[in-house]
This record gives sequence, C-alpha cells and structure tokens, in this order.
Amino acid sequence: MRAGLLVLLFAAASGAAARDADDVFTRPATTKELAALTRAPAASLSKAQVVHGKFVQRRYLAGLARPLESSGTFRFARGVGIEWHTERPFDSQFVLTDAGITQRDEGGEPLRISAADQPALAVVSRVFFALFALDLESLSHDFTLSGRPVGDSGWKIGLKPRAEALGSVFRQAVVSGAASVHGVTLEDGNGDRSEIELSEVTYDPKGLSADERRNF
Amino acid sequence: MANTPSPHAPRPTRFALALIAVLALLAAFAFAVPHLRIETNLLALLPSTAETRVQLDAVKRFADRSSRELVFVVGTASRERLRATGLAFADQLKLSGAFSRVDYLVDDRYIAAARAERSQRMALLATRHRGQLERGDVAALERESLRAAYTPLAFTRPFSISDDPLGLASAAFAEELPGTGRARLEGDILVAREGARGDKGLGDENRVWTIVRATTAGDPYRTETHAVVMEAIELARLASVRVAADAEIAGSGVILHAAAAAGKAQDEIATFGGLDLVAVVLLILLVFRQLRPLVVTLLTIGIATCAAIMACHAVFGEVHILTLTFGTSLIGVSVDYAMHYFVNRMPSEGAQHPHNIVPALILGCTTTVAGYLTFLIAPIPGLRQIALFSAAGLATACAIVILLYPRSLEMLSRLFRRLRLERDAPPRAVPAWVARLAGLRVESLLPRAAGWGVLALILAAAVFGVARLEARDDVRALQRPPPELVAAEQKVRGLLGVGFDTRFVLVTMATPEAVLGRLERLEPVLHGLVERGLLKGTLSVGPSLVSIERQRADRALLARQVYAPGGALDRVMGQLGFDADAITARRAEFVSSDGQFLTPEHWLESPLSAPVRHLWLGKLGTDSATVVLLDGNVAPDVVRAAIEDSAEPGVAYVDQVADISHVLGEYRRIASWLMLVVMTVMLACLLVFYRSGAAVRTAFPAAAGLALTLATLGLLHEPVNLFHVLSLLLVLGLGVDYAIILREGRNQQATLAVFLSMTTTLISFGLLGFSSVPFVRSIGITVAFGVAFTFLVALAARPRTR
Repeated sequence: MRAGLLVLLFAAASGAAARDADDVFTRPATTKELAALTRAPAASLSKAQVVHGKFVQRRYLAGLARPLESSGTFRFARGVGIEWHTERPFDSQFVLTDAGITQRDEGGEPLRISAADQPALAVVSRVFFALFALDLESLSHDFTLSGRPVGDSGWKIGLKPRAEALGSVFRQAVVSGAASVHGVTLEDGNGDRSEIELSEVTYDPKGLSADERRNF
Repeated sequence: MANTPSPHAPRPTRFALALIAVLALLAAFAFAVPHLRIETNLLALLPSTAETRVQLDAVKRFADRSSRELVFVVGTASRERLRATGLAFADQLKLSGAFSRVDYLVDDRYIAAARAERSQRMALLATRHRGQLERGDVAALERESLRAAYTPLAFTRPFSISDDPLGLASAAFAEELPGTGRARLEGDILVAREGARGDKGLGDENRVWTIVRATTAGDPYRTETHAVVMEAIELARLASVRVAADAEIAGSGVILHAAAAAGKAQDEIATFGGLDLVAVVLLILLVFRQLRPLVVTLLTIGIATCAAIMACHAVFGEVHILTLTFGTSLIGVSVDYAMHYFVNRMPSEGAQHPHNIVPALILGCTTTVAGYLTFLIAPIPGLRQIALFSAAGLATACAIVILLYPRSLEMLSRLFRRLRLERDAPPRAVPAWVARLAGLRVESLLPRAAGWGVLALILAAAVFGVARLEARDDVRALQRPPPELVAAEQKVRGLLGVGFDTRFVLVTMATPEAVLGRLERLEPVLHGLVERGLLKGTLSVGPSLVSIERQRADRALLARQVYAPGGALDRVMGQLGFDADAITARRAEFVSSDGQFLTPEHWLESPLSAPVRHLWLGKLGTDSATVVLLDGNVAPDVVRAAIEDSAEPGVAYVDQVADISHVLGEYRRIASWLMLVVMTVMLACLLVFYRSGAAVRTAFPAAAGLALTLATLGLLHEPVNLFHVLSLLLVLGLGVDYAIILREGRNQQATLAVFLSMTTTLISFGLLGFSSVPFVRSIGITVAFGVAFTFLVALAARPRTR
C-alpha cells in the first residue's frame, strides 16, 4: 500500500513535470525571440570567460523509486570545455572538451572517449556547451526551440531534437533561469529524466588560472 | 628474288575468296557493334599480382564494390542554409536514378536495430570490457557503471541504465559504429569545418561542409553510366546552388576518375584519329593527285580498323578505350602497304615496269607484326590488347593490298571513268623533289673528314645520352588523374580526416567463422601498429561482426562474472536501488538469449552492418574473405613487414601499386634482354636472305635508330620504363622495313615509299606523344623518335643505286 502510494505520488509528480514541459513546447520561438527572453544571463555571459557554480543532479530512472542524486561543482570555460566535478556520493571528475570525454575517479584508470569515435558523444558535449553558454544559434542546429517568460524576469526554453538520430539521446530538454541559468531538465530516449539544479552561478570575466587549466 | 610477270595479280579465285572474307568481316562488325563493350577501367589494363585464384577474386570483388562508392562534401559559408543545401544536392542525386543509395540525413536506424536485435547481441562486448572481464577486474566494470549513473557519462549511453545497468550494450554499440573522423553530427547532418584542427591549406576558414554518400547503380566503368552519373552530379550541384549561391561541391570516388579518363580518351581518339586521317588524305593528294588511291586507302584503313576491333572483341570480349586511343596509330601504320603499292606503280626513269613488291610487303608486315607481338611477353592485359589490335589491323591491311588491290583498282578505274570522276591518265611520276632526295648522298653533301666529324659528334652525344638514362618503374606511368580531381579528393579527405588508400589487408579462409577467427588474431597486430603511430586506424567488420567462438567465450565470461548470482549485475543494480524483480528480469534476459549468436547472415541483413558491409566479401568459390582497410598508412614497408611477419596463413597484405610497379620493373628487364635477342635473330634472318655485308647494312639503321632514341630519352631526362623498351622493339619492327624496302625497291620509288611510311608513322605516334595517359605518351614519343632516326640512318646508309 505504501509502495502503491509512492508510485502514485511519483506518477503525479512526473505528470506535472510533463504538463509543465508541454506548456513550454507549445510556444515555438525563433532564436531572436529567445535571445530577447534570455538577455539578462546573455549579457553576463558575453563578458564572462568562465562560468562556475554548484550543481545538484537528480536522475529519475524507470524501475527506481528514488532518484539518483549527486552534487558538486562545475566550471565552464569558454573555448576550453566543461569540468563537472561530482563530490557526492563519490568524487569523480568529468571533463568535456570538443575532442571528447575524460573521466577520472580515485582508484581507477582514467576513462577517455574520443568524440571522433563516437558521434553521439560530440552531440552531448555540444549540447552541454550550448546550454551553459546559452548559445541559441548553435542549439538551433540540433533542436527546435520554444520558450516563454516565467514571472517577472524568469524564462524557460524548451528544446526538442530536430533529428531522430538525437532522439535516442535526448527526447527533450527544458532550461530555466532568470538572471542566470537555474536548471536543466533532460529527458532521454529511454524515458529516463535528469534534473540539474544550478546554484551560486558566477560569471567570471577572467580566464582559467593555470591550476584550473590543468584539469582539462 | 623471283619476279612474277606484271601486274602480279593474284588468281581470280583468291581475289573472290578475299572479297568474301572482307564482306563477311564487315557484316560481322555491323552485327557486333551494338554489343561492343568499351572497357574504361584502367585497372583492367594492369597485370594481376594476386598469388592465388581466391585472392584474385577477392581483390576483384572488393574493387568492384568500392568503385561504386562516392563521397561528396557540400560547402557553403552559411551554416543556417547548410542542411537545406546538402538536402537539395542529395535529393537531386536520388531523383536522378543514377544511384542505388544516397545517404545524407542521419536517423536513429542504428540504435533502433541494436535495440531490436538485443537478444542476438547479448554476448557482444566492447574490447575494454572484454579486457576487464578476462583480467577478472570486474571491480573496474562495477565502478565505471556506478560512476556513469551519477555523472553526465550516462548521457552518452544509448541504452538506459535500467536496460543496461553495466553499460555493456552501450559500449559494444559505440565501438561497433565506425567513427565519423573530423565530421560531427549536428542535428541530423554530418558537419565538417575547415581548419578546425589547425590544418592548413584547406582554404576559406568560414566555410562549413556537410557530407553526402552515394552508391552508383550502374557499372562504374561503362561510359553510359558515366554520362548518367556526371549529369546527375551537375544537376545536383545546380540544385544546391539554388539554395545557397556560394555552394561548392567536391567529390571523391573511383567513378569520377573513370569518367574523367574515359572522357579524355574519347577526346584523344577523336583528335588523334581526325588529325591522322587529315594528314593521310593530304599526303595522298599531294603525292598521287588522284581519287582512286585516296578512296582505296581510306577503305583499307577502315577495313583494317574493323578487323582490329573484331579481333579484340572476339578474344577479350571487350575493347579497352585506351586500346582505341593507341589504335589511332593504326591509321598511320596500316596506310604504308597501300602507299607502297601506289608508289610502286609510279613510273620513274630507269625502271618502267612496276616491281613485284609482294615479298617486300610480306617481309615488312611480318617484322612489324613481330614487333607488336613482343608486347605479349608482359602479362599486362592492356598491352596484349594493343598488340592484338595492331597486329590484326596490319595483317588485314597487308592482305587487302596483296589480294584485293590489283583487281579492285581496275574495277574502280572503270567505275570512276564512267562516273567521270577520274580522267584516263597514266599514273603520275615520282615527284621531282623525291628524285632529288633519292639522289642525295651523304658523301656528296659533306667532305669525308666532316662526315667522320659529324659521326663522332653524334656518337659522343649518344654515349652521353645513354649514360644519363635512368629507369623508373612506377604504376603511375599508367594513369595520371586530372589535377582538379586530385584537389577535390584531397579536400574530401582533409574534411573527413580519413585517408584510406589502395593498400589493404585481405583475410581468406575456408569458412566465415575461420575468417573472423583469423581477423580477431590479427587485431592485436593492427592495434600495435596504431599504438606505434604507423597507422592512424583501421576499418574492418571486426568490432561489428564477431566469431561464434569469441561470442561463446564472452558469454562464458559474462555468465561467470556478471550474471551469476552475487555477480556484478546484482551488486551494481543493488547499489543503485533496483529491486529484486528488476534484477531478475535482467538476468532472465541474458539466460533466455543463451544459444543465440550474431551470425554473418543475421549481420548482413541488419542495418548495423551497413557502414562496413562492403568489406565482407563473403563466399568466393569454396572460401570466404574479408578486407581490412588501413587509415594513414605512413610507413607501408614497416606495416607490410609487421603484418606479414605475424601473419598466419590466410592473411595477405595487398599493395597493388607496389606489386604492379615491381612487375613493370621485372618486365622492363626482360624486354631489354629480349631486345638483344630480337636483334640477333633479326640479323640471323637477314643473313639467310642476303650476303653478310648487306645483312648488316639492313639491320644497322634500326639498331642505330634505337641507340639514338635511347640517347634522346636520356638527354630529355625521360625515365625509361617497360613501355619505352617495348616501343623500341616496335621501332625495330618498323625500322627494319625501311632498310628492306630501300634495298628491295627501285631507288626513287623506294625512297618515296619509305619517306611516306615514316611520315605517317611519325604523325600517328607523334600525336600519341601528346596523350594525357603517360604510357600512351611514352610509346608515342619513343616510336616517333625511333622511326625518324631510323629513317635518317637508313637513308644515309642505303646501298648505291642499282
């Protein structure tokens, strides 16, 4: 009975999420309209070389009652890549550049995947870059975009892949924010969903320090 | 020499038989023309270097398949219009019907197939995972799976964590699909950018490119296919320009080379053949000033050409387009016999009656045909066809002159007179300038001492030239693609970042399973070469199609370490929080797939095999074979040695370019020795016919002509290959005629006949010297120099007027 109630609650929650998402997707928008919508973070972004902050990621999987939750810090460096440093539940550093992925964990061999070997990977990295840089132009190549304002200064942008090829990786994504990007919800082709909340987002006009650069 | 009474006409029955033969030939030709196969594949000209029958078939089948593949890059400065520009191009290609397949937009067919074929693919492992399980390092696999579940790594996995908690299927799938090189998937198209990796020389950095692949529907070596394909490409280019005005297309594919070569050859056949005919017509009008010789000579050339084509058609079942290019020289050579005949009828002072020239014609024809037949020694199909073509044409022309001329000329004469096309006039006399040329003697031109001086100078130049001779046996002597095609190909390669060349590894075994087993044993060797930086990568069916033996072994590893109760599956799914039912379902899926394997038959039908399907050659007779392509093979000798050293039976490194170059070198040496043999035999034959002094005098001009030609090649820095040497043998065959005719004929007529013969040959082969095909050019310049020198020497060294 308890389990049944939980399932019911979860279903309601995901239903709400789906309705919420649909709302965004009913308003197709051009990159120009979206640029107007996101001009606040875009203005900060245009001056920033580095964006860093904290994240909490919750991954909802079919067959799992509780989401898999992880948290840590991220650092996006323009023209260099993204460092996704998971601190909990374990320490793992995930670095994404145009060339591919490197994942370093304590105790294990670093895992390297080249973008040239895995076309889908390049898509993932580009989407991540574009999300953090709010590069609507680049996103519009891969996705049909839609958006709407939320409250006074908030906004929400919906992304649906243009191609079936991407559909197996992303079914849809919603980016929300106000003066900065607040979060991203990604739904993949298998029905799994990941919610990423960003906090303490800082736009730094200076580039990476030598120490930070070493991680890429 | 036995002189039969004038006019040396053959008996009426022989004439009738010959006439029937000619009419039968023309009828057969008219019947065969619609079925005539014009081959344009340059490879068909080349010798086979395969060691076994199966290898030969395998190389052929692979060449047939890959020659149908085309890759295009469509570029524009506008990223927004790129997709539509590429789409316009691809759609127009599809619309043309010239292609059996046009691939542009990327869809999810691969992942859909991988999901649909899950049960067959349960035992497939990525190399990394197989290594972990073989080492028993299941902890690494577990750690990686848990990390992926909490980090963005999961986003790269096509299978969800619930379906594939250990990421095994995702990794196997990722490894199976060949990479896209420098191109990136953007939306549903592949996009490549110039200078993205700091490459230089790719031009405009702002241009973006998208990739379209196509497979030709028709035979890529048929001229009809070329026309359809080239038109389709041009229309598609125009369609893309309508979308983006700055659209640019670059293509790469064997058919583009074949079409360019065939087009060039057609132009050359028309140009050389046309100029040859014009020259012959002018020469005949200039010398004979009568209609009959012109009509009869042109008819002879026509019939000889028909006979040459029919001979090739009968023996080879096709005529190569380069045989026809070369065949234009038949015009200049076959015309000789007719000219000799007419020259011989010219009255001149001293001898009023025509001479019996039949023995001289037969001897001359025999030596020339023998010269062409030396081409047969090299196992090069192209040369054999040229030899047959020329020999058949010349023999026919000679036979026509001997058997048909006297009577048919009389008949024509009556006809022309009745039609008032020709006046009843005696044959023209030998023109005065020929008489002067014939009367010229070296001794009378130069004082004796100066003569020796000139001879010494010529000798010194010859020695200097011969000393500078160098040999280069390069298969590239056979073809030289147009620079714009090479540039387009470089552009495509640069943008794709992949450079497979003509060298590959061939694996042939008795069964498909054995082929795959061998391939899997070869993998570490190839991987080692990649690690050492000697190769950039390889492309094979390898990661996609796996031997049953390996699938069994992998299944055993999985059963023991992953799916066993308390194994990696239990631990990972448990830690992630999956309940027992979910874990049981995953285990049940593995267990129920027991006994299901991915077989070559399944694989060939799956969309997943598409990217490398052409590498699986399948059954060849009783054997099976597959091909491994090598990317960025920078040190072919080391790579070849490494593969051959470690190779077990059934593995062969195929480098046709090097092998054929090697064959060309070998036969150049053989042909050089043959040249000495031929000269000895020729001298022996002449010794039988003539007194020793006369024999040497007859052979000398040809030998001196050869030496001077070699010296000229040396002075011109022209590296000598097989084709030059074979041409010298041909010069020998042609040149001996000059001395024989000068010796046998009456002085003025003989001088005129040899002069005409030399001139037509010089024009024909001189024109070939302008061919864009290097080997045709080599033969052209060698023969042109050769006959000119031989003529001059023969004239200078001829016996005094009898």
